[in-house]
Amino acid sequence: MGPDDLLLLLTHHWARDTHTYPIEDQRLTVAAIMLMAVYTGCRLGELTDASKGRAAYKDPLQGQDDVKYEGQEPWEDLDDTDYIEDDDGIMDKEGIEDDHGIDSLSRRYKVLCYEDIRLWIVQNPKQGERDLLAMEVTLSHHKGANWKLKPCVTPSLLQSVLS
Amino acid sequence: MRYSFLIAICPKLTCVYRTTFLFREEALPILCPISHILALAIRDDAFKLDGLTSAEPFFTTNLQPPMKAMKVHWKLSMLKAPIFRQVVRSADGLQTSEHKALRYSTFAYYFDRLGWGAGFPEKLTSYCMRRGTGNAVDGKGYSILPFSAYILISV
Repeated sequence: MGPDDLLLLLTHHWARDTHTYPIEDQRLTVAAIMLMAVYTGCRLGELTDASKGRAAYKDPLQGQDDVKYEGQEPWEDLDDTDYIEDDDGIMDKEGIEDDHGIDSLSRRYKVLCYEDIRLWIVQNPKQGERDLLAMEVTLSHHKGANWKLKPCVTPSLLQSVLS
Repeated sequence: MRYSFLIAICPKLTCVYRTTFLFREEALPILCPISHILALAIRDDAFKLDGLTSAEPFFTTNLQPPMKAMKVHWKLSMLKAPIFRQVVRSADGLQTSEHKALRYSTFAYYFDRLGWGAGFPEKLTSYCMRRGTGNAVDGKGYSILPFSAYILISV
């Protein structure tokens, strides 16, 4: 996939796509995810929830080749647990009024959250022109990111320490 | 002493695995990630400043000399909320969840459907984008579709 493919996809997505989304807000979400993925080269697991335990896991590599896009949309299937709100949904909002303050809030998903993004308005280096926007995005949930510090002792290392 | 020696030998174990990417405005709005994030934040009402309903204030500022840059703050309640969220069923029909992150399988469905609609011969997966970025970094950009397909869309 090259830059031309990306431009083709985005143009099609915004201007020519006849498929509908459950809510058209999702069209913006999909475009934003595509841009973030393309600019950072991250795995999609950092931007979307790819955990297996939370909902019935569907292997993205299996059984999707024969998806019929004219038929029923997945969100119309009432048995699909992906589209059901989790029961403990309101816990986070109550945490703010808690005595423990903001610390009691916790991230529920290992995905990109608002705190990972810092938006800046920066003065334009050219005098007299409008300020520019800049953005810092910190990705911290890549594969292997939660490895703990483990002492790693190999026989040759042990020898050199002991000698 | 010995422990620090071990760490010196295995620097990989002590790394903090975080990467920060910097973005700036792009001239083309369709390729500008900042515009997209700004739009999502306005929809979520995530700015600390209340009552912000348009992006105009962000594009009309003019900071004066002692101030070089200004950080835009988020609401405390939104800090831990995922940016990309799932659509869920509620009493009023489908709506965007307040906290549930977008499922990977849902995005894979949207993305594959988009590629199918745009006329890609192969199944489009998220790793296509990752490979594309890697190839662009290596200076080996290539396209999936033949050149004639792009002439069609530009007409």
